[in-house]
Amino acid sequence: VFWAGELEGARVRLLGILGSVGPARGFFAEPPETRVFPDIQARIAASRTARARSVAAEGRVGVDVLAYVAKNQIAIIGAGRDSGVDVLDPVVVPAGLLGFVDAVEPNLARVRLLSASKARVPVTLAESRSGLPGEVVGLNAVLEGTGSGGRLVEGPLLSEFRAGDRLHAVIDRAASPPLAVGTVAKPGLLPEVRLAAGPGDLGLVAVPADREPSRALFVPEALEVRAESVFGRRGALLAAPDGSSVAAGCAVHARGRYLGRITRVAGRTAVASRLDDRGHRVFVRLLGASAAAPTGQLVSAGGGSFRLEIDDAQAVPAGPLLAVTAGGEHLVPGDLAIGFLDPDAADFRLRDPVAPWPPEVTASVFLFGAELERLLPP
Amino acid sequence: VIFLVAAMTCGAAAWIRLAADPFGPAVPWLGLAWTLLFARHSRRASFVAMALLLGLIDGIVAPAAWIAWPAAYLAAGTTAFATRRVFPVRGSTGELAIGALAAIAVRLIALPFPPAGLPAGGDALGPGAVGAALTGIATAALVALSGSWTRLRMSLASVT
Repeated sequence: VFWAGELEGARVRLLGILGSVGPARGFFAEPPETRVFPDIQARIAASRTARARSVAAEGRVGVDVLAYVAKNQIAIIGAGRDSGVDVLDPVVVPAGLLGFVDAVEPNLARVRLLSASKARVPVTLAESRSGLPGEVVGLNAVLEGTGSGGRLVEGPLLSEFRAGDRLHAVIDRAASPPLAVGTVAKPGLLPEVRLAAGPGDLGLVAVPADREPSRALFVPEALEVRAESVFGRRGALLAAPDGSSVAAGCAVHARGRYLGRITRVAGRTAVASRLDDRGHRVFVRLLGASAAAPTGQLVSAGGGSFRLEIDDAQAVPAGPLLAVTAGGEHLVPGDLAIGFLDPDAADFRLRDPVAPWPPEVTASVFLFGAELERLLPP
Repeated sequence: VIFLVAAMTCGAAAWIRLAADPFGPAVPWLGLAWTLLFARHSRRASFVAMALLLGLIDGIVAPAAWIAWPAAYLAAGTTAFATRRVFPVRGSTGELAIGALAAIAVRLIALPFPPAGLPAGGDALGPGAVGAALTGIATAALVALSGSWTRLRMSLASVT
């Protein structure tokens, strides 16, 4: 309700006034201790380098995913026209073809996933096969997205596809290796296809591009912590400088550690949801001992306990897990460290939470809000 | 004068709640204590304006949407007024229990309305329980005060 939103804005302003009276962070603020974990930062840097190497091939460049809209099966990536990205460019992840660029702005582009309804791409069998009618040795078809997966809809011999047939896209014959699209899951008149790449692969994608994105997508802005918990030990109260561009959704972090996300801004006062606040959700990538880095939602259950919501198709890596932000949430940059997660019954516990918060934190301000708005569906 | 005193005590409590982090939730909801006093002990049930205004003041730091807090105070006050003959509690212990129960009820009423865009979710039980108990003590203290503070007694007894 509009007026309820306006009231909350007025309330945040009053909180700002109230919070500015007396000592910053309250009477009982513990001495801040912003610990730095060089091993965490080194591991994140190594992971990013490995991912960039795995997605990048000749003529391709790794680009961060800034947003994902599950309903429309679209993703917004952090490179656009100025980086040489164009409409219909294929977007690739290590697992295979993820989708195609369907709109570009100077610094951002929108990617339509193959699973999006009515998304289409010509495909062919990965291996030649003998014994087909007419002595042909290959099968061609058109893969169409269904909103949740894909199916083969056009082709001369659709009923000849078998379960387990691997499919490659017929878009870039010079591509080496060929772009995997998926596997036939259920043969029939319109064979169903299990796609090779999906939302779980978002994070860093590869596009054909002339050069790396030339401009940084986020700029850091310092915020003063006025109160570490405001509403019954939830939510932090922050003071922004004059002329601040901080907006709801911006990530709050300190020394590379993710602390939370701003939920409301009024004047120079901001309220942030903290990582430990019950119900706080953040899209994470899990770095384990293996090369796999699945993504999922980390949901706080309060009291330092977290639940992991992850696709059934992805396996949680064994060993100690390092959780980092995966991006894909409009205003949260990727690769901010959340910390090591230790299994605790069905949940996880954060090994080294950042508590208390330091007197000053950083908010990442996204620079291309207008472009993002134009690319996101209404 | 009583209204002003009530508003000022609520404002001070709101500031202490913020500055006493992480013990803020243990600070009593004084606006609720005033609302209960006027709902249960005033002749003309003059608690409505008090519930709304003090709910807004307390609500600045309440763990709920701002609009939800005065509404919850109004609901608590109305319930207290409607049941004052059904539950004719007069002793300090009874007033304390009613104050504590009302604080818990208000929190439960406001639970589905999280503040400032924060995700919905409960709070730590311990400090909240202390806050509820102290709200009960504040309610009992205000009732006791009404016996010795003439202006407050007159305000409660007023029928015009």
